[in-house]
Amino acid sequence: MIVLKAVSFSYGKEMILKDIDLRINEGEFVGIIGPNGSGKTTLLKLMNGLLIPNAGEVEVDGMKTNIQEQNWEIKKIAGYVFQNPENQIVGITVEEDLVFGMENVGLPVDEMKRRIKEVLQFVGLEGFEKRSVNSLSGGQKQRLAVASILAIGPKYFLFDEPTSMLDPNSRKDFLQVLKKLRESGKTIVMISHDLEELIECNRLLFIYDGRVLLDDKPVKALKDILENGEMIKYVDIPDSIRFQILLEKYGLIDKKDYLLKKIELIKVVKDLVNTF
Amino acid sequence: MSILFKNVFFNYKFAKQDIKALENINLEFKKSTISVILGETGSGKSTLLQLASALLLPSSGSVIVEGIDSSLSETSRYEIRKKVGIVFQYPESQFFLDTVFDEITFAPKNYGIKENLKDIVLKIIKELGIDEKLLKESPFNLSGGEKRKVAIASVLSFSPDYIAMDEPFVGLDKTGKNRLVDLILKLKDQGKGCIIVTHYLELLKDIADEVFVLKNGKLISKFEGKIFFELLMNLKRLKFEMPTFWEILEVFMSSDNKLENYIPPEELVELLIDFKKRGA
Repeated sequence: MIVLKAVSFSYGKEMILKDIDLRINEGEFVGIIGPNGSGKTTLLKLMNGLLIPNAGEVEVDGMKTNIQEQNWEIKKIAGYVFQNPENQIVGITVEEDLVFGMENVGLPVDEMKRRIKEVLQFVGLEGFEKRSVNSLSGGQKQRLAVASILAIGPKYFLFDEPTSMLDPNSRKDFLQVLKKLRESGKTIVMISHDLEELIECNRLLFIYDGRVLLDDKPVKALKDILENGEMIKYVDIPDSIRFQILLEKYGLIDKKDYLLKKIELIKVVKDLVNTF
Repeated sequence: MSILFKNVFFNYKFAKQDIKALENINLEFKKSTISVILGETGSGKSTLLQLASALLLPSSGSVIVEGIDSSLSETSRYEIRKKVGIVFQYPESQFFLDTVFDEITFAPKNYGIKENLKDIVLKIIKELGIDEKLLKESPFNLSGGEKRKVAIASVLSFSPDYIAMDEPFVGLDKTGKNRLVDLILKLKDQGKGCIIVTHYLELLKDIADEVFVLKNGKLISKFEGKIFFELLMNLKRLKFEMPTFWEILEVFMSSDNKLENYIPPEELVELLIDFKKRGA
């Protein structure tokens, strides 16, 4: 469990996060949205001790990020995936990149070999061991970044807009990997400007001016945002989600407490068109 | 006058081998036009922008900007760089000064613009929605979205004829995206040529006059972007992963051929209600 207790954070005089209390439970998929400069990335970096709060405490599985020895242990169980994979790829070949993290945590060679095979298969890069990282596409690099973290065996994955640099087809491949991570029981906290990526999350947090303004099921949170004149200015609710909410509002489909996936929504429309 | 690519090839060296980044590109970017470039990561989009702004030179063929051939001389390249501003994919890769103000005014100073710099900066930051108090901050301390806006501002500040932007919408929130769309449309109205690499297909309907598609370094398709249904069918033909709502519209368009333009969810729901009434 990741717990933030009365956490505040500032860069110099600028207060970025203000008195945040938050709990991320194991196995949850939590989405984070909010305007630019609202503190989303800072919040995520506090969750694995990349940043230390000025006030309050962050605990991961009972360990505190502000205690140095515990901070190191926390980084092993909570991996951070940057927006730009170039920021975290350090190897010349795919294999070297994977080995770097595992050597740091002192894994034996046999175990490293086993894990390389396993994680590359997991992210759909099997057989890429000897490939130069420079020869990978942006989407493949992002999946390698996930594999490098997965190889260390963390429970928690913190993603900072992982798909924003990806073309639509690479994004689809990445989302498949995300789905597999969830199915294997990993806890995921993910910042995204694209709500379609977050429709299956358990909780959606809306961060505004350093505070958590909303923390709810996505369908409930989005309905609140749609009805709130101020928040809707900052949240790009995709046409497809607005469409579902409107279909429910006008009684064209039954009210649901979840958001429909692409394939389900298209089927609904086909059925409606055929019925009329 | 335009940016003209004639039989352009571009190779780069990696591990002593020549890697083809672009192959036999022939195209033209015009003023008062928004040209969008699509393609998978690694298809050569960013290389194309750097060739258009004379940051790279073709391995063979020529890039001619407003009649000036970029391969001619260092002077010709200097002239081209004044005419074509480029906003990079990773904003931090173009920052090197201490404050946001210095960053935005660097290029105009470099090109000999010395007067009214403060006014120029204030006008641009207002259009982009950059908070005035950030002018004194280091650009490296800003959030991802703010960095991108500063990168765009530092190009607009020397008022080039063409503005090439590499994934300019990445990391921007809704307000930021809307502002940038409005600004791009305004730049086009002012007669500027806008060349935009993006993977946000949703925004194509708002901005694209024409669409160029690259694959493995080759230009595989070019089409108009103004008629939504044609845009949609072209993207579908090229096997792009489409926005969900566009696929919904396609279902509807296929069953009602009169609908050619994009309509928002509110209007589609109205149409469905109307359909239901008539059906009943």
